[in-house]
Amino acid sequence: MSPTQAALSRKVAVVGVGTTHQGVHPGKSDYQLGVEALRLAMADAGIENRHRIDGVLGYKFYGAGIDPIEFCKLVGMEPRVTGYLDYGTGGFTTQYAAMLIATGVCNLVACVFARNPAGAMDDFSGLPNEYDLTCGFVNAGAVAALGWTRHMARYGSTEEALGHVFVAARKHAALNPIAAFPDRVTLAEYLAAPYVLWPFRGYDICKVTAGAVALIFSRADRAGDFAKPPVYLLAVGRQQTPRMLEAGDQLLCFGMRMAAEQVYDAAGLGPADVDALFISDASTAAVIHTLENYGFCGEGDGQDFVKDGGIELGGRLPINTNGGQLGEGYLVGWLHHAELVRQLRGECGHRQVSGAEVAQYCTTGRFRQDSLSSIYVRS
Amino acid sequence: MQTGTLLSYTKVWVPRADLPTPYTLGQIRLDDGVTVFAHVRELPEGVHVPMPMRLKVSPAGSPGPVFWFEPR
Repeated sequence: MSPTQAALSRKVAVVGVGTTHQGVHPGKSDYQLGVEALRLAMADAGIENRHRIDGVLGYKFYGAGIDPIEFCKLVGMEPRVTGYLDYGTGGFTTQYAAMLIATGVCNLVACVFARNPAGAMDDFSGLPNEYDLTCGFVNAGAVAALGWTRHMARYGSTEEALGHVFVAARKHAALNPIAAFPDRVTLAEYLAAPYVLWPFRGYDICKVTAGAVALIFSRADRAGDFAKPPVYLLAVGRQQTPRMLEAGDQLLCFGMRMAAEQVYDAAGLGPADVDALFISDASTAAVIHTLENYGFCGEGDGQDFVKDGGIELGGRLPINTNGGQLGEGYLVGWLHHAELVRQLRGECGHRQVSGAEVAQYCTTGRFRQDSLSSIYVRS
Repeated sequence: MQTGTLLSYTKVWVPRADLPTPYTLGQIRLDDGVTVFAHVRELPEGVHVPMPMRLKVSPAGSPGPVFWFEPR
């Protein structure tokens, strides 16, 4: 077990979560949405005095985002520490929050993500990059498409497998009152949709959405002081593999295997212990790569795992019960954390995984060159 | 290096300035080990990777990409 992973085990708990509706928010600023989410998270935790929060994390993405100092000015807070990560997706930012608490720098950290992008609900995510100018390398969706082509060639997997992932995401979103895309889609409708990045159809790639989420982390030894039962961070695994774009096999997300080894080693658990799985599904293919590389099924067996409702509520492993980024909204992994906390508290109503005690989150970043997973538990 | 291997590819319909769609974007490992992303032309139907490729270069002054790859 690495020193960092051991240091985070059961030292930190989530004590409050807040989410706005996801989709479109005409006329509102991203900061305004962030304030709404923080208010909801504070109410959820039963925090009336905002000055108890001594750490605030925002996020940046290629220069845009929530600047935590400006955000704190807006809400009248002067925490001891503010910060953000560039490429501040949910998993990486919550790891940062956990480190601030586990090292004693902060007692109570609020993490806030909000955005209101142009083209919400319609546009694909991602920005042009250096490859784009010369050969039309279309953001992270192209990396994911290249990875899936390779998966099909190596394992004989099909486009229907991606369809099953999408159908599950929309089924779950239909049960989620804040979801941006609450309409169900059948496998036949999925297969009838045109390609945009073969082998991907438009459905396979996330569209940007407007919305906000706030998460409040506490020292575990003070986590009983809040309104709701705490959800504990049990383990984090993370590994960067910066040669991913050069090594062909790496587009199959083999970097995840190192994060998997770390997180399960630190948690003392394995895939069979996970009750609900949350995958940062920037594309449908990410779900299948994650299932295989984390050992939920064998290499190349992901397409069978997702069939017949296997990843739906009531199936053998419910995945992204919130609808994920393909159904609920694309807040780069942050919303999954709100959902996993609500699942472990038993607050999810029609989409509750009965008896959920262990939830795992898995993501990649920077074109699959960074893999992270965290495991949260109810007790 | 004039030859390499197609590792994977995607056919792109997403509009981009100065790039008529659809085009095929491939990941190609050149025989000396360097990996590049470039357009691929003349691919047969079906998923066949890895596939041997040859570098093609456009005549000086002609429009479109300066280089691309085709099966060899």
